[in-house]
Amino acid sequence: MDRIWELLAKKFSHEISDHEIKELEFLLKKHQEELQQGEILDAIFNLEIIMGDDPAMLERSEKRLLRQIGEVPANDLPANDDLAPADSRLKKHFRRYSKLYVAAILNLAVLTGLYLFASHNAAGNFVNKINTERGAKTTVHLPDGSVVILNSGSRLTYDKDFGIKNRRINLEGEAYFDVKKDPAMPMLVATSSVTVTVLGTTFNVKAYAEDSIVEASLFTGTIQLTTEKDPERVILLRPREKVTISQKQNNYTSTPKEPRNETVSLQHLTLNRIDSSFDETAWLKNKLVFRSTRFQDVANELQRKFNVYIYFNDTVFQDIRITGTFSNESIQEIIPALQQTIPFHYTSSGNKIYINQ
Amino acid sequence: MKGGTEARLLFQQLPSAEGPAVLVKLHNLYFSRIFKLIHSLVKQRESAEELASDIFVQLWQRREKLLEVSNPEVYLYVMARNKAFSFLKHQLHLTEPLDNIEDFRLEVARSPEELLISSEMLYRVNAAINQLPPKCKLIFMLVKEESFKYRDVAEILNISPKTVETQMGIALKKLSKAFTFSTT
Repeated sequence: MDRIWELLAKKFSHEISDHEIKELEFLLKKHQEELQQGEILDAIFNLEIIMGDDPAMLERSEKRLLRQIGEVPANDLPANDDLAPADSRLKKHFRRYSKLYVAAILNLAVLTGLYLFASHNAAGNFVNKINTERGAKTTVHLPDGSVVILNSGSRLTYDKDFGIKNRRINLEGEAYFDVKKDPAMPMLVATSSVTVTVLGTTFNVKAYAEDSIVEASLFTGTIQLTTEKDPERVILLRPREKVTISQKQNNYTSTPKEPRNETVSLQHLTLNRIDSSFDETAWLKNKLVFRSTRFQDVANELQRKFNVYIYFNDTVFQDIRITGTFSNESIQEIIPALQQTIPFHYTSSGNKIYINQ
Repeated sequence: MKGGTEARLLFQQLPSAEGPAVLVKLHNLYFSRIFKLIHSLVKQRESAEELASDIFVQLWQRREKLLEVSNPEVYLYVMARNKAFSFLKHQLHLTEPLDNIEDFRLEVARSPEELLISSEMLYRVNAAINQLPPKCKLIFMLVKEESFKYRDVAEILNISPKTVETQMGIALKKLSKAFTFSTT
């Protein structure tokens, strides 16, 4: 059993050989039950070490160094050289975090695109509303210290009492939550069909109005879930479980007021064997993962991620199930890839794609 | 390799007219890390500070010969290890330094990229890291910090690559315990 840890560590530090990968896969299969947290372990492995520089010591050492090599002490050097350490530290910082800066700039772009405002609603309450446009993602820091990552085409709303009198938040779309623990004030995440009650956990909720399923996945802690249809029934979720609620829609004819048939099912999270990650959080890494997903729901996902519109001119395709993973592919690559398994034709103009027989 | 190329460039520029400024740059990039390694080996803060400074003086003295160095970062850490070991020899209490090294604190932080780690989990992870045996922690730090290869770490610490492998396995196993605990 210790061998598995050695091999996992090798994998995370990119030391593993092809031969050892096979060995690891074999061992992982054998010990599946005990080892379902591969992705989180990988994430732990990727945490940055805080260097904890001691500036006074650094300065002492620099002076000593310059004295030893016969140079003038640091404070007599031209201003330019004095800046050198800060400069190089800054460069290092930028190099290390360049990806994050790009992300931050993108987020900023999104922020300007989305409207974050406080408005008076009927009751005179201030309401905070955060929208993400299609093709965008954003990270929201809530007043109580919780962090929410909002996927494309989603909306988060909460009022001025959030974090003071209650922790109630409304979600349309998909979001990943890292909720700060507060036993006295549980957080309530309400979507149109389910309400999730949490103390302090990490979980993902996917509830797009246009999709045929609603999903809540739990990574750590516990959450309680009630459905709109059957508020009396409380579903308790344990780590690495998810609840899927399928709504049998009469395509576009049904309105939210019409009663829908719901099937609620409890499953384990889908662990991806290849990179030991969870499918449910693939979107955080800009990946699209479909497991026997209806073509219509796949199309919805593509519409949100790539800001396109997909129309089915022929309804025969909508219910066909699709399985596949896309990481860096563009929409121009994904549609032809789907054609490999489904015999459809398509035409496109601008950002509109028409699916034909 | 993130820092490797910059270090190589600086090594090459050391004999030039800008030498002293380049040396200061190298010093500011590596001093804290070199200090950490030396401190964990020699266990005395003041001595470690002086020894770490000396590394850069030595580097200056042999600046003409550095062009042949294939991996400047490993080179620096090996210099630091040798320095620490010879200091210990001098002090006449060198037995098996790696089995008897000074404990140190190691903190990790999450960047927005590591979204799966909750704040509570991060706290537990840091607690678990600091409960690792010092030798294990030092190896874990070297592998993680500069993305040193196992064989580089083995060279720096003068141990076998197999030991690095075993210790990394132990570190990961203990970290996973901390995590499993947090899910219950």
